Amino acid sequence: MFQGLLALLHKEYLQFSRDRALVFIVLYVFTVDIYIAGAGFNLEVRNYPTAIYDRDNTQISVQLAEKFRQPYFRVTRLIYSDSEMETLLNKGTVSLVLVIPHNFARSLAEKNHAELQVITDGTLSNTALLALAYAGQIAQEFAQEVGGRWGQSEPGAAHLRPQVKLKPRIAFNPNQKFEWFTSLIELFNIITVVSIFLPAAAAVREKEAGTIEQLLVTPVTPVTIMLAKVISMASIVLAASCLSLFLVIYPVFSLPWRGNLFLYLAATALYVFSATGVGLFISTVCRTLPQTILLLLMLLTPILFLSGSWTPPEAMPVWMRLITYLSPLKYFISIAYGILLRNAGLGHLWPELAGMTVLGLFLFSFCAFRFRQRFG
Amino acid sequence: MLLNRRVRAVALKEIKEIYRDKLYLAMALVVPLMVLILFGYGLSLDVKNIPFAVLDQNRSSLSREYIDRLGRSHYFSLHHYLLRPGPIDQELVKGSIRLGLIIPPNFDRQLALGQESEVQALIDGSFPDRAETSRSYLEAITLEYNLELARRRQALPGTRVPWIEVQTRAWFNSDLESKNFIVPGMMVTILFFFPVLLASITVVREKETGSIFNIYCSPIRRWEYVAGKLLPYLGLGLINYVMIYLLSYYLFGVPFRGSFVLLTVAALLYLGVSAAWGLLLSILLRTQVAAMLFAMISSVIPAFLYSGFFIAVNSMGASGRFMAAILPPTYFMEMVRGIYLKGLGVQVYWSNLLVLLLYFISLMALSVYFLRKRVG
Repeated sequence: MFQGLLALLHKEYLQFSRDRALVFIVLYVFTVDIYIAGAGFNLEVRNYPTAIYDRDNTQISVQLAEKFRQPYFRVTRLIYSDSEMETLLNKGTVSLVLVIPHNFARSLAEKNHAELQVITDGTLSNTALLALAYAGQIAQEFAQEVGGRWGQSEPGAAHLRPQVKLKPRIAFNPNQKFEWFTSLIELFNIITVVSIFLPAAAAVREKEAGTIEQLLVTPVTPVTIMLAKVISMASIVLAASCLSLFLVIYPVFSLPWRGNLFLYLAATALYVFSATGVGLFISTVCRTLPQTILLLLMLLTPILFLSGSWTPPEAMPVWMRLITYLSPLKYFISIAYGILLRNAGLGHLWPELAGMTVLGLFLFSFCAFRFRQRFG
Repeated sequence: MLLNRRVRAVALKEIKEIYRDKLYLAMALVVPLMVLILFGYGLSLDVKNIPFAVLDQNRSSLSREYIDRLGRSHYFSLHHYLLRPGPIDQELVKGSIRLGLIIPPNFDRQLALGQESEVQALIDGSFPDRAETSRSYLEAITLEYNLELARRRQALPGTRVPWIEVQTRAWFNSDLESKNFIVPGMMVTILFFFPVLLASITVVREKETGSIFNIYCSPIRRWEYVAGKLLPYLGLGLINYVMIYLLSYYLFGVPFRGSFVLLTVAALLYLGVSAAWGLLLSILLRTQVAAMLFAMISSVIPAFLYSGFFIAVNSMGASGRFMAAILPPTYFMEMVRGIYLKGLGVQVYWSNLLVLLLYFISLMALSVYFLRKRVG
């Protein structure tokens, strides 16, 4: 059996390396693609295109308008009429308009209280929400500054302003480096996609070409055939993921060297094996490659989606949160993230590790069983 | 003329092949809708119920009021009170809370004296977009609390505290519901991803099985073969489009303010671009596996990252704006959002239609050009 396995492994590696385009794509997704995701994707609100509609036109209103500046806002226009505001928002040239009403300065000086209007383009609700929050902060800081000036001109307790001041500190990723997050998430997603896809495709291709029949009449058992596919494809994925970690994520995005790399690699290996199990399951259902790709997507979307990297589990409805426990990627992301970013050890991560192992073993043995049934 | 006998013959053969493979047909119709429903319901970038812990060193009615305000908002939910400062770090590492607050011992006294009181907030930064959103919600709630404090102080005799109230309004999506941008956005993604993927297999499959030789030695012209191959996938995409439209309206209740005819014309052109891109890949590549992977990569990143799905194109950096400008989904995304939420018409979008038409023509020309090169 061992000899047969070795021969089959040799065959799988050979077949993989002969498909130049495939080798190229695997290399591409593990390097360039991860770089693109890390460098290009950013959900922060920066340079939010802004227009200012100052109907007050006093010293105070101009000072306030000046506070809307980079990095959060990029003032591109000064506007003077409602219709202009409408066109700009319609066309999407600006996404936020600050309207300073007439009598703003007077009201602030006489009544201690003034109103501002902030109008956003709500089509992209997530960034609109953040932009509104920043605008509120700026207004509050400005009010405080005005109070400070009053306090200087007439000292005393009258202008004291009680306030809660937040001192936020972002743990684990203090400079809010999005590229750490996006490149790692992309890596985990790609590991998932490729380690389900490669073995599924490798097995279905044999079915399509009819070569599976030839293998079945040789002395090797179906389990050996399956193991050869799993081991070869899993080792390719593991090697490629190391490549992207050491060639792209650490050097290019300067992710700090934290955490136990051996633990990380062991967890990845475990994860890759359970994912290849899913791939083999697909191969037992499908007869052709077009079917394979669609079934793959059908299984992959929920696995990726319910992993918690897109939507935080706390924000999901309860029933959906319960299903997330079925996504092996959910466990893997907590583990890999915990190790690489938070330097968490076995002591913290054992529940997730146990969950992933149980789920992986279950998936793998179920699929192995089906594979034997189908091909044996 | 465009639909002559040979074009119809190729198209009919392709349709029969799709129709006979019931599993494939069912999945080609159902999987896109499944993806839409999953994303529409589950992809919420709004952060809700973030679990947090508090170390309240003050234990006064004021500090409790502040904590209450956080806990009662649906953005945060109070996980538990802490007695010592140490465990906050531990619990962030474990991941049981995402935010830790430390309220200083003299919180109420400082506020009563009209001073600043510093509250420390420790935010889990391993998911940076979530950290940023949590921070801005935290700031927004604190800001409201400060306004309340200022108002109370103002009520005391002999004080003058300035405060500015910000009235916010979001146009086009007044409740800032994320489904209103995610569901139309998914239309753009799905109508790119699936046609590219399905069309990418069609020619390469004939190459693998060898049936392409029938085409090579038949009198059919190159453009007739390409057109015949394209049509069934255009039809499949059109069915998907209609179903997505119906679901967006009846299931998700996304407001539709523009012209359905305009949207359909745009969708047809866009589907043509997608299917033509898939066909070109299919003509260029040699194996189904490579074609599928290439199709997935070349459609996911443009449609999700650069199309303006999550972040408006005009707030991207220079490289992002460049990528957005050369990729077709950007042009359709602009139209879909504009037609759905802003109700804009053809006078704004004729240039987008023109760009899509140009893409379609050039991709088809490239497909025809490269098709015969593979014969020799």
